Amino acid sequence: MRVLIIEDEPHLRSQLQQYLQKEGYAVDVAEDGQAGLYAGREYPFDLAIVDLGLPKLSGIEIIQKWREIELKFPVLILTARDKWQDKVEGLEAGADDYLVKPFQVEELLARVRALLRRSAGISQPIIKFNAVNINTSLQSVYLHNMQLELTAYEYKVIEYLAMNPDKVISKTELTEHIYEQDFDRDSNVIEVFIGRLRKKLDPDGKLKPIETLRGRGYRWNLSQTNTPKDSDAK
Amino acid sequence: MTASIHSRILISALIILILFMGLTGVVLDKAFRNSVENSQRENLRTQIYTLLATAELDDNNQLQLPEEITEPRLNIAESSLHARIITINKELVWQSKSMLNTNLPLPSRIKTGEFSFSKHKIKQDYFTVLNFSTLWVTDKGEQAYIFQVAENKKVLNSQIATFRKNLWVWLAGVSIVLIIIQMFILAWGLKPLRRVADDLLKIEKGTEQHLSGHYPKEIYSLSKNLNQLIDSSQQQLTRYRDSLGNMAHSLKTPLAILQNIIDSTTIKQKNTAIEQLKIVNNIVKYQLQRAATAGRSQSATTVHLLPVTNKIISTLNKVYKDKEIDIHVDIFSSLTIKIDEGDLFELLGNLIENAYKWCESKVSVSAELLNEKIHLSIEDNGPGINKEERERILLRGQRADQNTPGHGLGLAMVNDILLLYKGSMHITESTLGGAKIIIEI
Repeated sequence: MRVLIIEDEPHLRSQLQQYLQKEGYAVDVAEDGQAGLYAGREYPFDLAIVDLGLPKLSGIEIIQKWREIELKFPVLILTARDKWQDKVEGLEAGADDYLVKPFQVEELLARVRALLRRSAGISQPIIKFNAVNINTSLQSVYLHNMQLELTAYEYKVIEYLAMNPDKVISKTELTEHIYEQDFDRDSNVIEVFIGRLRKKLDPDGKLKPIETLRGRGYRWNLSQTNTPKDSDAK
Repeated sequence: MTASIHSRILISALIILILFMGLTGVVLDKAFRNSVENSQRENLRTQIYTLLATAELDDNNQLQLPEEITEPRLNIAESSLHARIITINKELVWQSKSMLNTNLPLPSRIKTGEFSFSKHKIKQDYFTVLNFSTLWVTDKGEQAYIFQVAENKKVLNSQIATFRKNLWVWLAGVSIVLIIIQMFILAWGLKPLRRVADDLLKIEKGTEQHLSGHYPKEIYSLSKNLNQLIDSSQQQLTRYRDSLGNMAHSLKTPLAILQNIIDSTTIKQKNTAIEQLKIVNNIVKYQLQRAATAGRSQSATTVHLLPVTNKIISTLNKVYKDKEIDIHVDIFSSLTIKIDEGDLFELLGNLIENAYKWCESKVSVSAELLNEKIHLSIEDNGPGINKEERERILLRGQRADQNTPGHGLGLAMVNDILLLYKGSMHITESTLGGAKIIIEI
């Protein structure tokens, strides 16, 4: 999952970047409103974390401009202003959640995970597909209730595919969503990841969770089996 | 600093008085001069009539006048009044004794039976001359005569000069008296204002708390408003002091705890440190909110309740999307409330967010107007609030004790706003199963 952070305070920006990278997200950063607006328009992000008080262009304006051109990725507002009028204004502009500074990293990560799940139409942190369960909070995948050994990038691939079920995902799209902008990409790496994941998820070749569509990409083939009360909401 | 009210009124009154008195003087002077001139003309006319009555024809059909004339001035040489009679051919018939060495000018054309006034300079003096032409019937027929009377203007001018002198002395005297009266009136009239200024100085020095004097009705409302302003700023000052005191006091404990464990590395101690930092942050947030809210009730306006409620609900629906909350709102769109809009947002935001946070799946917001007060109820189907906690929550606004997580901070802020608007809050059980918060404002 690829995340954009727009924050002008350098310490907080790099702290956020590190925490999110540690959690396995591909993170791009922008230090002012204009750069942030541009990045959001040009690259396919899955989520943006936007500070409201930014130089050159305010957070509210950025969100409004993104929504005007129908960019739909979820936006989490960071703000030092904790007045209700500010919160309402931010969410009316098109943001999806807010977090008041100072905040705990765990809280931020929980919000980010919840927003990502919600944007994929999944309301619980554990996504169930019969034999395969994905716990987005713990970033772990279970096959018949046994935890699989996965690298950070393998998890990223499986999470992105599972959160976009029934959709054909090209190698380019997959690369863009798991790697940061200035990462040296090699499309063969994706094929290697998919090969390894198939072995781990489907050792006896019965499940066929990831389908290859020649020349077009991959598709997650398992159906979600969550029931509304499977796990606690928020 | 601009000129004082006292000097403004005094200077303008002075200018008006000088203009008025000057104009009065000029008008009176002119009226007096006209009157004196008229009376001189009348006098000259009377002299002509007297001469006409006294003149008689002698045996030679010559017009004669007695040796002594009734008017004494005509008998005294070089007096101020002269008279003579001449024929139509400018031949002298008679002249008064006063006319010694004086030569009256001959009149230009004059009709019989008509008076004709003229002014002439004779030697050094100015004279008013009255000519009268008449026909005298003699044995030989009709003979035309011209009667001339002249009076030196010196007399008239000296009368005018005396009058003028008296007039200006009196006008100046009256002006001075009026100015002095004006000054007394001003001093008396502005005395209450000076008293307000003196009383304000006393308040500034700290010897008095309020404007306590009896003031006239014009400045009664001013003094009342000033007293209200003083009260409200004193209240605000007390609030600031209390807030700062509370803040300093309540920050000390978590800071002490943090200081003790700052070097520790165990996870338990780290969690304690985080917990304490959270408390410090809450205290700062709460006290800042209090400081921002304090005194805003003065600027309260009428706000529609429903749009603000809907905005908060749509915000919370986004944030709590996962919970799929069944929200029920029962507020008339016409219902308004007199409150600062920012305070209403805080009030409703905190209350409704608490309900969203604690509910299982249902939240209900309703409001109605009862006895000119808005009764607002926020209910949820969460775990509810037990009786002990209810009391603690209601007291918290006064004690600023933020150590307990849960319903705490939000409701403490609500309580604080309510105190400011003289509202009240009750906590009870909802028919939905959870807590029901009732606000009366």
